[in-house]
Amino acid sequence: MKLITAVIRPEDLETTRRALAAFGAPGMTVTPLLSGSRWNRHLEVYRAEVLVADLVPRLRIDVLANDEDIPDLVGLLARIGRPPHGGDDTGRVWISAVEQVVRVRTGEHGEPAI
Amino acid sequence: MHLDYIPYPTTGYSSGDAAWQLTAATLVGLMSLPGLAVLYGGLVQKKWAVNTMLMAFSAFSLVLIVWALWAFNMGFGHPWIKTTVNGSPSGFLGKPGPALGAGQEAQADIPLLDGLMPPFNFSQSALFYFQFVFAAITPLLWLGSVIGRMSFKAWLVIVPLWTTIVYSADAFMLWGGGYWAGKGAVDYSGGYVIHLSAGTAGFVAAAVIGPRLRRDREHGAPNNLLLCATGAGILWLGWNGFNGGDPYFAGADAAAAVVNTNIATAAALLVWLIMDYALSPTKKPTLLGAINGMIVGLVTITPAAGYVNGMGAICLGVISSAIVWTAWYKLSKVWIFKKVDDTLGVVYTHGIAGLSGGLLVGLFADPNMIVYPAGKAKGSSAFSVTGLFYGNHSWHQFWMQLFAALTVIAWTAIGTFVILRVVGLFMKLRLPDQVLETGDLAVHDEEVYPPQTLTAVGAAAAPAVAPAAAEESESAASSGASEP
Repeated sequence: MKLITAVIRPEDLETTRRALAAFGAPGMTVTPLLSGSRWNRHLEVYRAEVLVADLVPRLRIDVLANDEDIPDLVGLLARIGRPPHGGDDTGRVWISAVEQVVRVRTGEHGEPAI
Repeated sequence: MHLDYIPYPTTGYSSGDAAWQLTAATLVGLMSLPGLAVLYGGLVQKKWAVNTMLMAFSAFSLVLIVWALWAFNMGFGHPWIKTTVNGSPSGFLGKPGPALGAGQEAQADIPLLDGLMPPFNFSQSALFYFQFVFAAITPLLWLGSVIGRMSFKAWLVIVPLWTTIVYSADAFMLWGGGYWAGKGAVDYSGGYVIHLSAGTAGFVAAAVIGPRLRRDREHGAPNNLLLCATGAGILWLGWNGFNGGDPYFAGADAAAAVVNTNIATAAALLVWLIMDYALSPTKKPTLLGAINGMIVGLVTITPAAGYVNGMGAICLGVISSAIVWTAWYKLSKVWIFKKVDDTLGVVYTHGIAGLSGGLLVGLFADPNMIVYPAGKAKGSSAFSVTGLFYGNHSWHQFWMQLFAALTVIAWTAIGTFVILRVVGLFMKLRLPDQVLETGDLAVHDEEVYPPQTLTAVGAAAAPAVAPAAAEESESAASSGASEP
C-alpha cells in the first residue's frame, strides 16, 4: 500500500479528477496550500508597486493505492501536471509507504480498506 | 382629471427641476459605479472579478469622453439627414458635434422635440449628464454577456464605436425625436434603447467572440454573494433616478414613475421567488434568483414607468417575471440560446424583459397617466399614451411598440456584429486559452484577494531580517503621505 501525493495547479483539478475516476481510483483528498519554488514566481502590481508572489496557490492531491497501481497512477498524475507552456516547476509527485489502513465504517484492514 | 394645480413652470429655469435632474442622473451613475461593477464583479468567478470591474470603470470613462466630443449630439441633436414623419421633421441619427462649450449653460434643448413637450427648466449640461449616464450603463450591461473571455484591449476599442454607431442611433430614433418618436412609439426610460439593445448586443457579441473555457462554463460559481446583493440593491434604488428622471420635470409623473418602478419590481421579485419555489429543479428560493426577478421587474417597467397606472405596473412585473423565468430555464436549453455563451444571461433579464415591457405598454398604457399637462397655448393637449385596454381599444400603440422593437433589435444586432467583425480584423476579440485559465493575474497582474505573502521587489532579494517595530511604523507613515 502506498500514498501518492501530487502538488498540482488549481486549474488542473478537473482533469485530475476525471483521469483518476477513469482509472478507477477509489477516492482522493484535496488540500489547498501555498507552494514556494524558486522557479515559479510571478509579479503582481498594486498601485504601481511591483510585488513578487513566490508562494503560489496549489492543490495537494493524496491518493491511497495498491502497490500494483502505483506506476500507472504516478505516470498519470505526472503527465497531467506537466506545464504546457514551460517555466513552472512547482509540480511534484511522490510516493510514501503506508503501514496500515483502516476503513472506519467496516473496520476492514489493509488493501481491502483502500 | 384636474391637473391644473400642478402646472409646470415655463420660466425656462426651475431650481427644483434642475436639482432633481442632476440627482436622478447621479443615482443612475451610481447604478453603474459601483452598482453593476460589484454586482457583476461578485457574480463572476473569483479569477475574473478584477477584469470585470475594470471593464466597467473604463467603459464608463470612455463613453463620457465620446459623449462629450461627438455622441451626445448624435443622440439628441439636430438630425444629420433630415426626413419627415407625419409632417414633422425627423431623422435616424443626429449630427455629431462636441458638447463642451459655454453654450452648455443655456436652456436645454432637443431640437426635434421643440413644441412637442414643455420647454426644459434646466441647462443643457444637466440634460447632457443625465443622458450620459444612460449611454454609459448600456455597454456595462452587455458586458455581462462577454466577460470571462473578451480581450480587454478589444473592449476599449469596441465601447466607443458601439456608443457612437449603435447607441446614438437607437436613442435618436426613440428619444431624440427621430423616426420612431415621430411614429408614436414610446420608450419611457430605456426599455428598448438601453435594455433590449443591451440584451441584443450582448447576445450577438457573445456569439461572435466565442464561449468561455469549458471549465469556466461548468464551474461558473459566483465569488461573492454579499457584493451581488450590494450591487443589486444599488440598482433597485438607483432606478428611482433612472425612471423618475425621464419626464425631465420633477412633477407628478416623475413620482408616479418612481412608485410604479418599485411596485413592478417587488411583484417581479416575488413572482420569481414563487416560481423558484414551485418549479425550479430543487424547489428552493434563491437569492440570485430573487435578484434576477428584481432586475426583470426594473427592466420591464422601464419603457412603461410613467405611462401605466399602479395596477398596470403590477401586471407588467408579474407577466414579465413569469416570461423571463420560463425563458431562463427553458429557452436557454434550445436553439441558438443553447449554443451562445451569454455569461450572465443578459439576453433574458434585459433583452426579453425590456421587449416584454415595451410591448405591454401597447396594452396597459393608461391615457389618464398624464406625462405632460396641456400648455396654455391654444390647441395644446396633454401628453399621455393609450394602450389596448383603454380608450377605443386600439392595437395601434402595440404595433408601433412592436415595430420599434424590431428596429432596435435589427439595428443593434447588425451594428454590433459589424463593429466586432471589423475590430476583429485588427485584434483578437477573445483571449488565448492560456490567459483564460489564469484570468485576472494574466491580464492585469492583479487579483481580487491578493495573497498576503506577496513581497515588494528588491525586498525579496535582501536577507530576511525582521524589521524593528519602530522602522515599520515609520515606513508606514511615510508611505501613507503619498496616498490619495
